[in-house]
Amino acid sequence: MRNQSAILFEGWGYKRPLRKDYVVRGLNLEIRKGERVLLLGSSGIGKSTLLCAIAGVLGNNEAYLSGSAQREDEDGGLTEGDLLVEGLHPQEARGRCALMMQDPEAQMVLQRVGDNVAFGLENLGVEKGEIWRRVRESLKRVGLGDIELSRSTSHLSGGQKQRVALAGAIAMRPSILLLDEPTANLDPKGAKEVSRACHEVLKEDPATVILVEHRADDWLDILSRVVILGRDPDGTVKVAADGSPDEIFSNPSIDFDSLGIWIPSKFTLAKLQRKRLEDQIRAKFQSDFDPNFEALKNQDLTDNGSGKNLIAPSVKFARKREFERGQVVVQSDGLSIGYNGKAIADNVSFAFESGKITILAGENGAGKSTLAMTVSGLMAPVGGEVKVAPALSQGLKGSPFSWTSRQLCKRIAYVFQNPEHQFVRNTVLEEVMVGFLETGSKKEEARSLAHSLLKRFDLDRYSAANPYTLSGGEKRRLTVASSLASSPEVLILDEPTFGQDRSTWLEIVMLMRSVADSGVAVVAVTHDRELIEFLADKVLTIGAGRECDIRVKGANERKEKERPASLSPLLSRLNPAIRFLCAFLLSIPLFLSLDPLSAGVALALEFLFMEGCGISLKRALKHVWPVFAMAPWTFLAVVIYGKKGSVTYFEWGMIHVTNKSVYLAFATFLRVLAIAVPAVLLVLGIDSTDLADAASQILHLPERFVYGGLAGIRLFTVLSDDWLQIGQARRSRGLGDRKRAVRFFTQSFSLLILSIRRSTSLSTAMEARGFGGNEKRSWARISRTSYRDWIALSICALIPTSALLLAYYCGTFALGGK
Amino acid sequence: MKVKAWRWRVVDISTASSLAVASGIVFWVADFLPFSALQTLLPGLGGLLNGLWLFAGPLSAIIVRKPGSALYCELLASILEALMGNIYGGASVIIPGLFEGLGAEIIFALFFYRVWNIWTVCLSSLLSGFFCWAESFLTDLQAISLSGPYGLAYLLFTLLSSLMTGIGTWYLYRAIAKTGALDRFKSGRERRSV
Repeated sequence: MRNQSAILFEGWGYKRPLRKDYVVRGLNLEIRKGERVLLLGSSGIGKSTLLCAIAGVLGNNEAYLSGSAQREDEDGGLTEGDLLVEGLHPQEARGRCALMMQDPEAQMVLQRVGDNVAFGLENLGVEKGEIWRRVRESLKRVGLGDIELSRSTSHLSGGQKQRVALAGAIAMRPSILLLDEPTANLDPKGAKEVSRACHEVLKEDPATVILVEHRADDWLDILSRVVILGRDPDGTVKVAADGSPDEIFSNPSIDFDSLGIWIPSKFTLAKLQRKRLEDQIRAKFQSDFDPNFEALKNQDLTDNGSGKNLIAPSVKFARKREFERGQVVVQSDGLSIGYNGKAIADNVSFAFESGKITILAGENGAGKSTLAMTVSGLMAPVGGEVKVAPALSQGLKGSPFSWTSRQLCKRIAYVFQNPEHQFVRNTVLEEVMVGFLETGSKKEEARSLAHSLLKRFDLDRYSAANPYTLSGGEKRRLTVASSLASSPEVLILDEPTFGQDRSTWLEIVMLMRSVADSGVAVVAVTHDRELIEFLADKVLTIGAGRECDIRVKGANERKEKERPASLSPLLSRLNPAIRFLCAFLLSIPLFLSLDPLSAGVALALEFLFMEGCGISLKRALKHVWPVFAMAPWTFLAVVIYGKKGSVTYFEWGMIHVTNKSVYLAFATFLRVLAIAVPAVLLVLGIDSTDLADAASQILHLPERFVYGGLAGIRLFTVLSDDWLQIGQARRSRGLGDRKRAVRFFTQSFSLLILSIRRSTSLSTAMEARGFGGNEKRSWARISRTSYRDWIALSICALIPTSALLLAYYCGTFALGGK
Repeated sequence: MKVKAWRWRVVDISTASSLAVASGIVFWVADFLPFSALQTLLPGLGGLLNGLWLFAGPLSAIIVRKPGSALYCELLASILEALMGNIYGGASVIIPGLFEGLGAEIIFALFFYRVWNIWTVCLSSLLSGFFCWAESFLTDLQAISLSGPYGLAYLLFTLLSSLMTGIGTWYLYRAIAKTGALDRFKSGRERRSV
């Protein structure tokens, strides 16, 4: 029995560090080899936790080995019960499972596409020729057969990144493939690409598959089993329903609605569910909708939150509505939007009205967000102007982009697609208080207003929690709540319903409607058909097609130029590790003697050497000039504070200019140059991946550190995008007006935190590809040394040696300047 | 702490590396400060800036708490600084980076990687500063007597700035831990349960 099962949970549970409650507890579930399982359940029930546990990347170390009832791992999590993956403990079974996660960016480990796919194979110790065969084959299977292997992952779209991640997973030929909402973070085009790729792969692959996905529609044809998880009142997670897709989705006794599940549209039950949804929404707004805002104001604010009563999200909100519904608050005709001064769409016309919901729909991800950000005053229009009605501007001149952050947050709020980019405080309560504080409330008032707002959003019980620890749906509600705190007249939401289960979806829809009903102009960027159908008062389509309201120019495919690895073609052929060694070999011996002769001779020889490598004196100087800006100061310092000689030219306080100090200053000046020139020119342009390969293969540095470090360094490439986003988020939250220095430091701090968070999810992605164990890795890229390297090394040893010997014979050699 | 707990997890490596990236950028920006000019105008005053290149080691150590984390982070940060290019001459910044990392590491090693508080962080930062000072007299400042007034003033200012860096690093670590970003680390959980 046991050897038939691919995965077996027996009374299994896991508690995350610092949490009071177990995410999953008491779970019993068996998945047999070759099954294609769809795992369903409301958000926060622990589906991702289960996949991570199976993949062996949850917690760390021996916690998996059974024994005592509860085991604490090094991450601070607690595990109980048993989990076997093909009869093994999950960590021993690493490499048999491949995990694909939601966030495309978090799964890019190395800089180049090919290296990313090869990474897992290296960790499995697959031989080099086989690695590249499988890399090409896997990329072909996911539909990326013609992509250059050297292409940088930072120039890929989300859908492409996700397919590269899939290729990396299947290249490992796993017997179990774990797919955790693989399309949740993608625009429709990307989602289509990825689900098509998954289908292609799974058609022929015999692997056991576990898929987590809220909407099963696109996946039904490859699924053999559906498992629905539910939670008992005591917190244990149990299998609420289990069977073939047909059995499950045709079973009227399952309460799909309260389990948060979307029934695929091909089943008859789906129609009923849809009907219920319509009724729910309609019922809600017939009873709740009340244009009389005075009535809203008087409404029971102490209502301690069934959480379902979401109208009039804040007191101030109801009080402030001064203008009528249906009045245009922001509009434009002939606006050009884009970035870096390049327009991606011209002649954009729109008008957003108070109390109405306008949907910006369309396939193109970039165009929609760019328009939304331009309207929200977070991006400058490339041409034209965003015109604001007096009711919104309230006396302010200019367009939203010219307003201060505080002026902006009172008028237009922007809710980012990724809630985490928007968080600026450490607790849920403070997060909401920001909006009240920035618009002039006193601390106590802000606190009580924030509490009542949180109650409305059914989040008050988390008021002391860290925003990051909330579930996806809760995070989304929090970002909306915190944007409303500054009572804006326009609320713009970027993909508010992405990847939400049915219950959260309904909550968000209700929320948007009630916000609009309180007189706010709501704009949602989305491609969610149901959302459009149930909510839209007006739809603007954005896309490349002729029929679209706003036409986006076709984005140019970026062509990748190979970056030269050095100024000199000769140097670029050297091994990067050798180039570093050369730099040290050239410079360190020169510290032995401080005299103008050895330093001068070495400097001259170095320039000759560079000339020989094809770097002319002029080009060399162009790249080392900053050193010339620094060296004179060192010269001056030695002249006036250097060791005293016999003849004193000038004396004043601590300053002694003597014959010796001047001599030593010359020597120091020349030596600083002789050390800096090769140290700059030899390492300029080295690619970090090549350097890491050389460090592990030539210098035999420990690989876990070399490649772990390399993956960390890749985060460098996303820093500038992150910086921009954090800045925009802070601006839209009203925090962008602080003094420049304050702004700079708080923003830097946020960036640091984001990088640390990225690095922890990076480690999960790396472990999911089998990295970090004690097994022998193999190398997909061979770092070679050739005769050229040995010649270079000899020259670099010869230059300082001959310079020093010459100084010795001429009698100028001076150990440490003695 | 058991010896087994001394093994680095992958998350330790990736976090120390991302700290190194952040530090490397700070180092690189700090390279534009008029260190040499300050040094010359008032002896040793440049030492006040030295702290900016010293925080990587102690910060990584207090967060990651594995043997070698201070050295690893400071060294990797200086390698990045070198790859970005700088006025001190490309790869030559790796030598002081190595010295400073060693200085920061030694203190935690002396305490067998068991004591993690503001005192060890400050001591680590101070020794790192001392090594930084000593390194400059072994290399660029050979021509100046390290026991003369210049050398002493430079030492004093360097130590002063190291101490400030140590204190700053400790509070930076606390602020980071408070955000919950370090929940997978003992260092983070320790502060959050306070």
